[in-house]
Amino acid sequence: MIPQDLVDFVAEEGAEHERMESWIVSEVERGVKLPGLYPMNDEAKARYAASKKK
Amino acid sequence: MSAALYDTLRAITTATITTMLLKKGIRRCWMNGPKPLVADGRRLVGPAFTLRFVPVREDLATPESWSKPISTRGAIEEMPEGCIAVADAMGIGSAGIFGDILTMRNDEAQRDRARHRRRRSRQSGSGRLELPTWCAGAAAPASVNGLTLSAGRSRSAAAAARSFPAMSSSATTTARW
Repeated sequence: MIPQDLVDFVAEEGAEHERMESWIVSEVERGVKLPGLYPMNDEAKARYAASKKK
Repeated sequence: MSAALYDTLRAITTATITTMLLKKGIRRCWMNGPKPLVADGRRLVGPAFTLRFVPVREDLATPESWSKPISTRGAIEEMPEGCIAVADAMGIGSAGIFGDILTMRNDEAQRDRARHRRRRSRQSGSGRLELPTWCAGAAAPASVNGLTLSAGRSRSAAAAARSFPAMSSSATTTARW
């Protein structure tokens, strides 16, 4: 259940969270280890940010 | 809520939704217990129409109460198109909250509204109900056998549900407890 006043927050942040986790899944699929990836360290964040610009 | 917002929410897993709400300090937002009657993997989003049942009250819970203004029948007719009925039956599993005829009326009412709006009919199959349902199980006795509807109202809240996997079902469409 999502309270009405949090629906927009969940939609915006949730959509980004899904994009981020989809990218993490793609990284795991190509053999990247979890430490530093999930959650992301600065290096992983930079690679994720770069991936969004492609 | 807009159709675009629904589409956005429909693409977000319930696991993610619980994490987003945790960021806002909400830890208990997921309904622990209801399972899909038919696991087809569909994820549903809609405004919640909440119903609360209380146990016993044999003085009120009688077949005659079905004709009273506050009744499961009345609640079905009040439900707006596209809502998800979220029912709290306080864990009582010895009586069902909605039977076949009420769920059929709910299903048909939704289809009537959709037909009216879209000017086309939907395939109703062989008469079997296709209402997605998450619940604790089925019970033969009617609600008045062990429950009394105490309140039902349309709320401005969103409910999201999917029928798999473990961190999934967070709301019911119609349910029998």
